[in-house]
Amino acid sequence: MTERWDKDMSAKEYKNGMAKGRREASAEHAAQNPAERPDEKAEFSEIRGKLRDAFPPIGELDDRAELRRDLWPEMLRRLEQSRGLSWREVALREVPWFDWALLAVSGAAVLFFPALIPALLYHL
Amino acid sequence: MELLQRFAAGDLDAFESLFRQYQRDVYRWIVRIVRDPSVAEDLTVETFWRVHKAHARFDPEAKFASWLRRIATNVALDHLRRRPAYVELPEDLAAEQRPDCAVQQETRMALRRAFAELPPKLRLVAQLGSIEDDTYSEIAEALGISAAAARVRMFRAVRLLRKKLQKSGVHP
Repeated sequence: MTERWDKDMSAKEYKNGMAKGRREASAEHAAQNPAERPDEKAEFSEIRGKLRDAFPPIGELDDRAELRRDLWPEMLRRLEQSRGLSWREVALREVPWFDWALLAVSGAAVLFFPALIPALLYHL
Repeated sequence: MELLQRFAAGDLDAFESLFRQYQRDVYRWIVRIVRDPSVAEDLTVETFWRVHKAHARFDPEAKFASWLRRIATNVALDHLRRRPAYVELPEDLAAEQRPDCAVQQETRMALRRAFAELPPKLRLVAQLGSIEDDTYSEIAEALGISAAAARVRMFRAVRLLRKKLQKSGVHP
């Protein structure tokens, strides 16, 4: 195999290929092990220290990490609201805005260019 | 019938049992991402609302806690996308812990600004991995990605933060 490589490739190509292989292997290694190089480890721990200084971990600050009230009544209210909604409210809440935009564009197209109706029907 | 099977079948009592069992875990997870208790409460309800809507898609044989955490993470991520992450910490609390000099204060502010500018996906990983000390596998499971991908995101977040800090004249 090595012989064939030697025969088919010029020395420059071979060298370039080796360099590319090394680069790719190094990139792959860096991607898989981002903090394994000593300088990267130092960079990570430095930034981490500064981050923790700027944003103290929630658990270390106070009791904000713990839920202070039962949220079930709120959940129940939301469930009931969804049951009691009219179809208009449900449509407004549940249908994404881009669907409404698409509908508006289609409506305008039909209004201004009635000849498009067969084409629209064909695509439905 | 098992609780999860009843939930998947749309039983409201089963849903309530699951809600009461897991609301604290969900809140605890979300508040570490959004860092705001009242927002975290709203997002906890939003998480369970999505869980309720998706009950028919849940496989009772699957792990409910993992599914729930993934939904909670997505809800928190959606929140980060909608709003900037820069939430002012209670300054009195921060000041109590550290007597500051002007340079430290400036560095801290620059870091907060740079952090807020990170793409939400990177911000979330940096938040959980660097600040809250979660493991890569925990983060990966919550995001539905591999641990290697979580490490890469962390790496990118740190690099980006460093660049942004250097741009703003702060040398980390």
